[in-house]
Amino acid sequence: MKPKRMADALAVAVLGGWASIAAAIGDMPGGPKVNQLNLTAPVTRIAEEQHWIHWFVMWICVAIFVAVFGVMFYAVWKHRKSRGHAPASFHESTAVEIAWTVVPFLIIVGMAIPATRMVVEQKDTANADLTVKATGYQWKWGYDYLKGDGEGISFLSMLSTPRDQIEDRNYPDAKARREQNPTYLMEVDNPLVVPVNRKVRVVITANDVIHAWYMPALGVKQDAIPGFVRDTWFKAEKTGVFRGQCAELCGKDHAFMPIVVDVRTEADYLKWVEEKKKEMLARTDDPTREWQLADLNARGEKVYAANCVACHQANGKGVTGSFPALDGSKVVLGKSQAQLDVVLHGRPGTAMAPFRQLSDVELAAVVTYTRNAWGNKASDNVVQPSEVTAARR
Amino acid sequence: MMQADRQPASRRKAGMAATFQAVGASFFGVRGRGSHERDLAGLHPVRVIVAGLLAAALFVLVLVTVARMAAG
Amino acid sequence: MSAVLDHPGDHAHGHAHDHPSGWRRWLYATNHKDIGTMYLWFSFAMLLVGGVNALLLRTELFQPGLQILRPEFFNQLTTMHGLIMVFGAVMPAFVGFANWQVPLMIGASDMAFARLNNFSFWLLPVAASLLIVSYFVPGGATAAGWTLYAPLSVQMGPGMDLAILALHLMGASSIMGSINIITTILNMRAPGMPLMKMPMFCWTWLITAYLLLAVMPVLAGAVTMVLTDRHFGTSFFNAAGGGDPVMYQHIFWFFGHPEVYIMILPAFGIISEVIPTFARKPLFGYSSMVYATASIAILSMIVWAHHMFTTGMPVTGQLFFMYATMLIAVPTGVKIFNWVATMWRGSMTFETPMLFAVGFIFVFAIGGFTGLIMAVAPLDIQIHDTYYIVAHFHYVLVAGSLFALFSGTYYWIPKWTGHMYDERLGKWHFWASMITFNITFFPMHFLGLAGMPRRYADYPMQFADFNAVVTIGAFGFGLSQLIFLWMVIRCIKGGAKASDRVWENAHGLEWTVPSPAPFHTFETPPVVK
Repeated sequence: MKPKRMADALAVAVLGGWASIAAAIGDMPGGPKVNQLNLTAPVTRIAEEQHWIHWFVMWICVAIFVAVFGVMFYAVWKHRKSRGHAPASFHESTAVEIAWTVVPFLIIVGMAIPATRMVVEQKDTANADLTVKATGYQWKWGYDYLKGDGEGISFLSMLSTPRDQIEDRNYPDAKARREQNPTYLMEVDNPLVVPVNRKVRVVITANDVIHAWYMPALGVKQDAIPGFVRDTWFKAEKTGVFRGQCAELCGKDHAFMPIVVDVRTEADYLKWVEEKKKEMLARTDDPTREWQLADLNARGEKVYAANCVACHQANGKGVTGSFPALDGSKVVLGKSQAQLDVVLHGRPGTAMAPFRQLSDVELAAVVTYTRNAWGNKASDNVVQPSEVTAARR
Repeated sequence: MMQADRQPASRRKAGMAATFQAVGASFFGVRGRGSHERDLAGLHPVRVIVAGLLAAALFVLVLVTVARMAAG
Repeated sequence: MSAVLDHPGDHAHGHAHDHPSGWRRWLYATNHKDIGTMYLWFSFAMLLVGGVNALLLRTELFQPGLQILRPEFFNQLTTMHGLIMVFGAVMPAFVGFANWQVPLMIGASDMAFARLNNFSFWLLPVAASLLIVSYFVPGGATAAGWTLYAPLSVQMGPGMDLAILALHLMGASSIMGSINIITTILNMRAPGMPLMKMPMFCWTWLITAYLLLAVMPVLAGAVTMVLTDRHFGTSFFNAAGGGDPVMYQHIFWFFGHPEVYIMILPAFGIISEVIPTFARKPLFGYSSMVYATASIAILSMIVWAHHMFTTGMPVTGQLFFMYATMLIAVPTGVKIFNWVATMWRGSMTFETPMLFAVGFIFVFAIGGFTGLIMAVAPLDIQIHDTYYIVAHFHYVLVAGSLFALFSGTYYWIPKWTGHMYDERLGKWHFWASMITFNITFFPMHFLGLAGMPRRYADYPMQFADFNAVVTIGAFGFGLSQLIFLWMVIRCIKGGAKASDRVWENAHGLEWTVPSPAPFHTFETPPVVK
């Protein structure tokens, strides 16, 4: 713990008497520690090996560094003109040069051998007990349980830190609120739940642009590439909640799409699967039913808040120059068919992504909501889920 | 030696072995001044380029083979 | 203007009268020294613009939460900071050095193609204006990161098109500049200067110029494909149309990795000039340095995918690029050993150029070691795209390229202006830069290891202290550069008269001409003994 205290002291020294913000809040459970200096504490063998090889390479580097710069600073100190040192005139020695080329080469071979073994191990995704698909969206993650216990479960996972903790410009007390929140920006509504000591294969793709699924404690990072499927794996050896973030620049809210993995015991996991399946069944909306305007509006407001508000804003005014306003928009006030088209297929070449992943009811609700919210009074102001079903074809 | 360097390229006559030796040295990154001077005086530039491309291809091939073997 | 063009050989009497003055002197400039000066001022201006971008985003990152910037504008700043620093500041600065120094060092009267030289410079302000104007178009500047990864770059607004156009212009400028430098070095050396007697700076630039010729067209191709994907319905990088987003990364980094060496090899050249002068001892292993530079250039073409270890390459690909990347550490190490051996048993003095050179070796080595750590593919999985990489490339580009550029400026500025710079200001500049640089970038290693991703507008509370330290360091580093500006202005305006040789043990043709170097030098080629 000593280097950590040194880091705290350094922070305080450089920042002056001003108190450390990080120390006040304490370590994040399952996430980064206050002024953490090294890699995140490992919960998989892969992550443990990464720790090991980091120290291994690091110590070799430190040794070479000390040797080379020991020589250099000795020369800087002793062989200076002000101490009357006369210059030597040698300027070549092929033997010495061959030596200091061959020795680093051998050191590098020594590093490459354990690294090779680890690459092969990291890439071996065969024989998984559970296969989960993670899909990157702008800006959230979607999880589908493809194989193993829990097959068929699927949900979206979104940042649960409220905007009123993040945006100081719109919420004057945002600072006070986030300073009460130790998991600020690394918390989600629905974490990925997996069993402990089971090999979990994560199949990764994306819907719009490239994202990256990064879980430091599990030693995993894999880019999510739209239109392609990549995979990685982990086998968590401890139960608990572990946190990571998106690691590939994916646009505006790149910093606001964290990843949370909840590792549970086998029994707890099966219980969760049971509950989740029941919950999904209850939540399944009948897309053939006729909905009332008020119900659609109420549901639509929630869908809007979860999916649209980041760009089009709560007041529907968008952001001038970047994201168009929906309030008073020609598309929203025009034929519902055209608006459904945009929502289902996105607008290629802009930040408007396709939202096919939402259910028919959700899409009908959100479209209805935008047609009635703010100053909007569209002529065909109610869109039924059955129209979405039709539009999908 | 100065004269040697100014020799037209067509009159430079260093063999295959010498050309590859120089290219190899450049891959390795160490060369004594004496051999360096001989290189510059004797080597034909076109041959050096061809040898360089061949050696680079060979280097890539060796590395790919090693990677394949390591990957098992 | 015709007066200039018609009498290129009429130098016998009064040089002051045969070239235009006022704005014409600069707009129609064909003299390598004038063009070099313009390159250097341009790149310094861009350094300040890029620096302001950096300070804005560091201000946002001073504390958690979003205080002053919207995240989409934050992304524009990170992107433009990268583009401006790489293509506007570092690369043109080295071309500026080449323009001033290559003809002086090889005893040529000017660059081989004087008007091409003029054209390659004047493309740059146009490109820079495009980049800066792009902030004000609807949607703002491109926010896809300096790497402009598809498909994010396909999503961008018209600012992206301006950036693509700017990259085309800067690429064309670099290619023309390289042709000029290669031709000058190969054809215009003074009698009695064979290649192997050429100063190291010219050697590194020769190899760099070939690298530029090889890879700038590749960048142009990559961004053109993005352009046609955006507007003309192609789908090079769109899976739905049969393309592949990862292909963009392969093409980009095939340019991007040699680009890293394009920005560091001329720096190696400058350091290899400065150290022997102040150690009063010839460069150790000159021939090996030449061969090591060639070796780095060759290897730099086959390591590109180490920027892509997390894209999910097959095992063989992962291993190949890991091995090749680790191998490139060897010739780079050889260079550091050679510099240390040059200093060994010398008779050193530590004027500002030497301070920056020694500082360069020390801090660049740290960047080299973190590079080796990241070359280990299974470990790179953890630190890829975190602040660790941000720390790494600032150690090699700021402490590497920029410190070398400072070293070279202090070394040659007496020759350029005819005045000695203020040594006290130089030392202040060095120590202020060195200390604030490390305060800025060293804590980033910890942030990266702890898992803070790069290009984040906001971060968890636990990262707050290091980020605050980094921001304070960044402002200190930015302000330190004003000392440099002040030093340059004072050195131009006056100061002690510089002798021709300037430094006690300086060797090379540039020190045989008067200080300041007259408008035309080496009209009759010098003879090298």
